[in-house]
Amino acid sequence: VRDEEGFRSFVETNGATLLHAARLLTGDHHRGEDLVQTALIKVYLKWGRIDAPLPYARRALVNAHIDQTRRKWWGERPTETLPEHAGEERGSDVTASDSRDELRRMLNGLAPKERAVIVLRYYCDLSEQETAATLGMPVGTVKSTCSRALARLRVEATSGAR
Amino acid sequence: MAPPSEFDLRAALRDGEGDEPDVNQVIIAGDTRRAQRRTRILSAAVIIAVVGGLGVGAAEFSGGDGSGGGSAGSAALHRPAAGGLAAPAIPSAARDALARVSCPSAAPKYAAADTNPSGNSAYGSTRLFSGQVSSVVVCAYGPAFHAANTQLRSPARLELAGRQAKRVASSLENAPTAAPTASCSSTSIEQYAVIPVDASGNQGRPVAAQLPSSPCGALVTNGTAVRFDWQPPPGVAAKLEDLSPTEPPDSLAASPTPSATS
Repeated sequence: VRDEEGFRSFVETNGATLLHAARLLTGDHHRGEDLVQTALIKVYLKWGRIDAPLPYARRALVNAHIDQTRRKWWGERPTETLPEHAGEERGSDVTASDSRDELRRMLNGLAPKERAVIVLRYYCDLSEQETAATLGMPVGTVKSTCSRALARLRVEATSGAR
Repeated sequence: MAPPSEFDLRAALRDGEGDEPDVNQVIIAGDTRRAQRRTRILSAAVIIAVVGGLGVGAAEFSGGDGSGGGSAGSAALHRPAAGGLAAPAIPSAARDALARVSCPSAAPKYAAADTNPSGNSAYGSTRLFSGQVSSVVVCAYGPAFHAANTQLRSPARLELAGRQAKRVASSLENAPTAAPTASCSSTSIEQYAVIPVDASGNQGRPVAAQLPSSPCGALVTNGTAVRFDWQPPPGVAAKLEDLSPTEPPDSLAASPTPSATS
């Protein structure tokens, strides 16, 4: 890479955001790290040939995540921790600080594309147009997907409160 | 739990952020992947070069003197089957031109005076082939001095195109023009007719060749030019030896020949 320092600077500036977005997308701490590394390697290999590294990195992140979920049925499936089932702990007391964890747990119950839309819109603060460009889908699809995802989160939260 | 507001959602999503990915690990992994990619590309290039080289070598080998034999040799050297189908490696234009050439039923006979040069240059200045030769048909009639039998035998046929045809023509043209001083004795003399075909598909005057079993004593003539001691190019000689006229059908062979009845 001609400008390795530039890449290092890019990672120092945006790495934390990308890593957290990856963890939100995967719903897993370590898989998030793997995902962001995959995306950043793609950025590194293209560094110097891409005009806007951050949108490229976001797109690489989301595409890699969606690819991984597509391959899941024949690819590697970690079984160290059992999948968590939403609503398992709903009977317990939900404190104010736990409500964030609960929300993120509900986020894991969304479909990969719905989760990607929520993360890009409400964590990365992208507009609908930018989200559509990142995901490679029409703006209308982003709107409907986002609306459907939010509705599901509301329903989940309401049913969990009962 | 109450339905989350947009503020709650944003706060929940931002919760826990902070640490950064290890950039050194990313760079090492990226460099490794780039090296692997280069190795793969290099390997593919080497494989392509080797396969291409082998292909070119095989084509060169089969298109050269034909000594490669086997199926590769048949690309330029072909003896058609009963159906007269030519080998697919011979260009279609040459194949059509060769298909139009038919072997004379008997070996060409030229006047004895024409084949008896008195000097070294009288016949050497005359060419065996009047124009460019792009393909030839060699017809084999078997041993001479068995005229009665050869009348009933179909000549064997050998089609040569491209470089091999040119080598045959060149070797014939460049054969010695002076008769050998030493006498050659041979028990068997094979008779051939070499029919040249030019690039336009035009058939030239057949050249008669008599090849004895001994190394010397070969005689080649088209009636006006004479060559002696012709040595077929390597690869072609073996093919000529393999050529033998087709035996007549049993019914024809069993029937009395005119000479036998007379």
